[in-house]
Parts: sequence; structure tokens; C-alpha cells
Amino acid sequence: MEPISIKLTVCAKRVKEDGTIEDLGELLSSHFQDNEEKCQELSQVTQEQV
Amino acid sequence: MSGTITSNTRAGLVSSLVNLGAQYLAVGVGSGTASATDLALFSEVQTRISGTLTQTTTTTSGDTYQWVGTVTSTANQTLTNLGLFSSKGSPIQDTLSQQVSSNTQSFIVPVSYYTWPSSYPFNIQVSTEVMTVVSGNGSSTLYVQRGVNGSTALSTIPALTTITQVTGTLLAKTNFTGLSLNSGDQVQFFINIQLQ
Repeated sequence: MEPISIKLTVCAKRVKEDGTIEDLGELLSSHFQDNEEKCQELSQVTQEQV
Repeated sequence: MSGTITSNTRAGLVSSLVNLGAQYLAVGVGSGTASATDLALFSEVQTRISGTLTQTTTTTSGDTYQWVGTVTSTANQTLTNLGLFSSKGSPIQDTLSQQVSSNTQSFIVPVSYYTWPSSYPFNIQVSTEVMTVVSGNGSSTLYVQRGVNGSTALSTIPALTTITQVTGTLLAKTNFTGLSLNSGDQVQFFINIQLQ
């Protein structure tokens, strides 16, 4: 039986005063597993089998 | 043999999540590991914020719930956890004035007793444990049911541990080691829940 899982991903970017966006991946990447999908710059948080 | 939940069903489940309605991002500065039994953050700070909810595609059509919003830090602080709540209201928070010294102790002593509601019951979270406050002595002590919502009753909880009232329904929560922010910093959060 192929499992279905729920993947929770949190990405964050710092918005600078000039409106440009700084990727915060380096700040958080050591604390999360990389997520290869939409939020490559950050992190997979949990994955639960349901 | 093989079985699966179809892509259409996954998209339907995500749609149901989106249809739960507005969710508000809360951030916290306390320590702890997020658990499925949690109903509150670890030391929530500042007001909860609104965001934009969409159903997006990561792998199969409509398989992802996405919340996007921007937090403006109101202090120099290190964020350690966050959650999405159904309610915008900030919770009542306080600290323990004395430690909890066993997993059967049926009372807690908060620093600011009169901060707490005088109508019961209501739920609180202290560290990783959820408790139901069932009554108070009118001056200093709250009487509690321990280990509520499937959480584990802790054998010791140190004095000064934050007590957080459960406010709204917690959809998802995560902790991380730390995101250091200066007052005024803006951080855009993308929270994805993918059924895969």
C-alpha cells in the first residue's frame, strides 16, 4: 500500500528596507532538512505518515 | 498489491484545509520541540498576523496548502517556533512562580493569578504539557487536570516556565533553533502543507 504523507515546510525571507529580499536559508538550513521542492532555500520541518 | 489516495482526493483534502478559513501566524521565543499534542506555542510574542491562503501545486495538481505572510519584529529577539491559529487573539501568558514537582501534582501557582480567567474550565500549555484549569482558589493557585490532549504529564516543570492559554485552534506548529531578528526586521514566511 502506497503511503500518503503530509509534509510541512516553512520558508522565510527577510525583506530589506530597500524592498529587496534576502534569502534566510543559511540561517535556518542547519536546523532543518532541505526540501527539494518549492522552498529550496529553507527547510522541511516534519513529515508524518497518515 | 498496491493502493493509493488519488490526486483528486488529495486536492480535495487540501481544499478542505483552505476552506477552514483564515489562519493567523503566531511566533514564539521559548524552547521546546513541537508535538502533535501541542495547542499553543512556546512563549508566544507579539500579535498574530494575517496572511494569504492559497491552494498550490507541488507535485500533483492542488496538493499543497500555502500560507504566506510577513512578520515585522517588534523587538530584538530570536524566534524559535511558530504556528498557524484559527484565532487572531493573543493568549494570556504568565509564568510559574514555583516549580511543578511531580506528574500528579494537581495545581500550579502562577506569578500573576489575577491575570487568569475566573470562569472554568480553560486549557493552558506549560512546556510540552497541556493542562485543563478546572478551578482556582481565588488568590494564588490554579487547579489543573494534567496531561490533556494526549500530552505527557511532566514530572518536573521549573519555576518561571511560561504558561500559555490556549487561544484558537492550532493548525500546524514548528520549532527551530533560532531566527535572530532586530526590532523592525520584516520576515516573509511561506508555510506549505503538502499531501504527497
